[in-house]
Amino acid sequence: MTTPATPAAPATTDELRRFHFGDPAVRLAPLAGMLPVSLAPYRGKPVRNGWPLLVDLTAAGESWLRPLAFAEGAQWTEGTFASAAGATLVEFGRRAPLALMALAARRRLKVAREAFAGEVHELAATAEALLAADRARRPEGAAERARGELMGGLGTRFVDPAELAHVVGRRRAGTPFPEARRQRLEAARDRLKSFETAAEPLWIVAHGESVTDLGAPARIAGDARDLCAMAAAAFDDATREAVELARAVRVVRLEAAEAYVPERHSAWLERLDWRALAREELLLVPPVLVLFPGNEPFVSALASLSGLLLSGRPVQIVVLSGDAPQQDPLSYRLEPAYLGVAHREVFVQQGSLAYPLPLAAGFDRALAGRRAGLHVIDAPDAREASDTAGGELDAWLVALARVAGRAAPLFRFDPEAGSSWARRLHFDENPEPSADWPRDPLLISGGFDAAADATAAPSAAAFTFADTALLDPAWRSHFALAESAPGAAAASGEFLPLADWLQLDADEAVRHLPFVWGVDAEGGQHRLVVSRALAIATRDRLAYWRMLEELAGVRNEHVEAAVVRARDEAEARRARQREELEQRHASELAQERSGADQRAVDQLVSILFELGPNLAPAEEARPRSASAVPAAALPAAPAGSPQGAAAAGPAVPAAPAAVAPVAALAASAAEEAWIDTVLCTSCDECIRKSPGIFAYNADKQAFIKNPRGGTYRELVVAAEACTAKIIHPGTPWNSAEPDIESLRERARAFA
Amino acid sequence: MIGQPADWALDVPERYFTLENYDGGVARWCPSCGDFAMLSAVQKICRDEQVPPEKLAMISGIGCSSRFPHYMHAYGFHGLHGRALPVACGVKSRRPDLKVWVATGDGDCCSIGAGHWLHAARYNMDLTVMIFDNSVYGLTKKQTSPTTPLGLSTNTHPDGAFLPPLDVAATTLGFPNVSFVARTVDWNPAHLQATLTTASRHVGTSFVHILQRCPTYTPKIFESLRNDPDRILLLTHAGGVPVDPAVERVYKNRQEHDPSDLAAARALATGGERLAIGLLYRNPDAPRYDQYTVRGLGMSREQKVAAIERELDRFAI
Repeated sequence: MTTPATPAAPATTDELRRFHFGDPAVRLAPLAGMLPVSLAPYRGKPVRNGWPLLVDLTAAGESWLRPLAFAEGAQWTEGTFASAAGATLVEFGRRAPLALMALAARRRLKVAREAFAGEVHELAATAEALLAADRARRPEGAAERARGELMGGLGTRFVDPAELAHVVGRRRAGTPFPEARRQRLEAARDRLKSFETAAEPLWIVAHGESVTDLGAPARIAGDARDLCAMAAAAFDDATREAVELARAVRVVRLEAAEAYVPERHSAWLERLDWRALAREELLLVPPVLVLFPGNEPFVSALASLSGLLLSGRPVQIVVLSGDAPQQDPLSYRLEPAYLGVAHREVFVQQGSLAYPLPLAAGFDRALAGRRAGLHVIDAPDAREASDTAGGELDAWLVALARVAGRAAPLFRFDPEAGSSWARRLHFDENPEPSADWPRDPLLISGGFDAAADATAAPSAAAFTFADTALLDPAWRSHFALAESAPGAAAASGEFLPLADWLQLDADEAVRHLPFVWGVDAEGGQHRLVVSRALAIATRDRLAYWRMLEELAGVRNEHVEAAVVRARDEAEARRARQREELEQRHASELAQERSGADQRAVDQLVSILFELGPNLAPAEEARPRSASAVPAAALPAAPAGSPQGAAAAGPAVPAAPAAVAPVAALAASAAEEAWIDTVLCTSCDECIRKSPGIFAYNADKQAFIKNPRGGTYRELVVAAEACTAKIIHPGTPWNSAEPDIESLRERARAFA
Repeated sequence: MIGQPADWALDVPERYFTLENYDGGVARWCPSCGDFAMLSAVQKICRDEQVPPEKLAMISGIGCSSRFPHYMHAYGFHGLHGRALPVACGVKSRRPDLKVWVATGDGDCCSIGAGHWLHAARYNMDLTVMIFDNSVYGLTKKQTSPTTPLGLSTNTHPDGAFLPPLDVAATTLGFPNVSFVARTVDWNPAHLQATLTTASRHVGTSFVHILQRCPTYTPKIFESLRNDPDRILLLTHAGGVPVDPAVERVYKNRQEHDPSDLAAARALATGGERLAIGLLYRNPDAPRYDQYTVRGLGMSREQKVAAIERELDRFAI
């Protein structure tokens, strides 16, 4: 398809204003060939990022589906074909989601049934063994038959089991099963044996829908038939086999455990239906898939659809949206996916063919759960040329632009993911999920690298819904060429980019004309004024987008308020703690200062006691010191005093005698004994040697409870014995202790 | 089995345990023995974790360190030489609710009990194994053990040990399905306790190689390591042994080591100028045999008889 090389002539501002407000008298030439700036470099180029998809139903985990993508310049190789052998290729197109859904359903069925087959066979063997034991207990020919079975075919050719039974004795006594029990077991065994792993999902489609390319068998509803009622009936039919199987499984399990009580279990098993099935049993039911080829059939069937979704049947409903804009552009758009969310317990995803892997992951999750699924998928439209922007762009790029322009935002609502919206609503695949509009619509997580193309010019402008609409011929009449020379209008202030225009209040908005940038086939860049209808549609898309954001916790006012509140509380708490610490510090400091004063006074008194030769009564008040100090070291008492009479030693000059206690005091004050408690190995040595000085704390690690609780010798000996070498004796508090110099010398090793 | 007072059966709610609640008999190791540090550390861990004494089982073999169960107020089993680990596995099989500690030495574990050592690592049952390595048989008065340094004179080798010693941690790291190996020293109680705490919280068999001083027979062999902390390399990692400020103060040489890297753990355990201490290796996902051995524990006698009957009935004639 070709486009005019030169766009129509620009309209005057007055004409544009009247065009914007929908004056029918204004007839402007329709635009063609215009593309948004960021997509213009891809005009006419095939871009199918991630497509086609390679589906390998035998692969484990998420690797069953992967893009058959190649780096630039890479070639198809033999290995590529080998890996594709036995796998299915799914091409980009409107039917692709249906094929993906059918393949995902087929895979789930295959995995579940094969996984269950082992248990089914084991239970069938158990039932068979129980029945064999019962047969052996029955009197008629049991021993002969049992021996025959034991000997096998070869043995019975040479030996007659009947004769042997008479020779080797009788069987062990036993009571055979009651008849009802035997029949129950036989029925269960037969049901288990008839289990087959092969099964197919089933599509329910409307009359007139093509049943090719669906990837699975389909059942067509007649004209008057309700698709949803038909799906419910098909599901109930499909569950019958799984329910019978589950019944047989339970019978054999109970019988094997000798726990089957007919009065209790028979009625219960009779009532068993699909709601009582375990998850792995429910997964055995072939999935029922319902197709709505557009929004309109979906809306028509709304009442019965709601009934189906609320019934809890795990039916998967696929809605292919991406159809034409609503008839009245000024009306609000219906959101089928959001309608699905309103059913609360339904798995809902809104996906796009531009993001096939998240889409398939959503199919997987929905099929693995035990609830209904609603999949609203933005797929290329069947309308002529609308899926390729009039032939200008690759359909994949158009699909990508619809996601970027918030025409088809991606989200997944999974009620099984948790109890809060934060866990249930998954929203992250959207481009720039925390912004109103993305700045770069091509920046997607799939690895598409726009920068690799030299002609791709990054656009700083927001990519709005109107940019997406520019790709849709149905919206083409809602654009008018403003001017071809960028720059002039900016000065006038008349025109405003649409994203900015949307931020204005109503009074201010009427003074401006909103526009988007477009690029023509020649590469010329133009301002395109958008109609009021399109501007309102863009505002509607933005409102829906913001609602989804808020539900997902992005830019949620409650969250932001909570963050501010939490931050304020933390700040206040920190301030309180800081204040408390400062107060505590101040009080400790004051206490320490007053204690230091007291200690200084005590030491002064002590000095005075030792200095004063005529202060005998005070000396007596310190009996321990007095006894510890040798008589020779004491200052001479004055003649005539009782103390002086008792002292027989020679007179000592007063000045040197005064120096000794001062030095002792200085040393004592300088270094107290201490111990590095955290390194104590609890070896008991110090405590055994000097229980008066050392003690254990609550962690059984030693500390010095009283440095004067023993002699300095004891301290030094303990330090020497300490296996961790963590006791530091300091300097002696009593320099009059015997052999003090030698002890000082020994203590130096632990300084 | 060391008996417990009968009144322990009365489960008094709201109990709080202090260190005294874990004190057994008076420890009779030589003065200054490193084993005191381990005893104190284990008691503190039990106190910190508030493990009821009736939920503890201390298992040992023979040797100085194996006197450990006597000094703990808990269930204890002072077993045969080298057989601590199989006894511990047996206890864990039948009483998975007990916290099982094993005290074993370099001779007990690495020589006489070496076969059990290998298989205990393989079984990976939930045990905390302390290997007290004083490099000598101490209880029997100084014979050469598998970890005796080359050239050390002993009663069995007066001219000096003839063979190169094995490294306990490095050897353990070579065993299949090993899930936890750490190394520490008895003379740094903060690191010792942090290492044993990390080990006791690991679900699986956790081996802790502890360099332990013997003041009587090998008083000097760890002197250089003690006096020169620069010879020790402290392993750090967010998932490793938490490093206390008291430990940081002593050991300046540190290395970040990811305990999930087995190759790096082996290199650290065997080589280097410095002795690496800390968590060498941890694999929380290794299969555990005790997950298998606990099957059928809750069955009554009648249920067991019925199960046997049912099996036999399948072959009835």
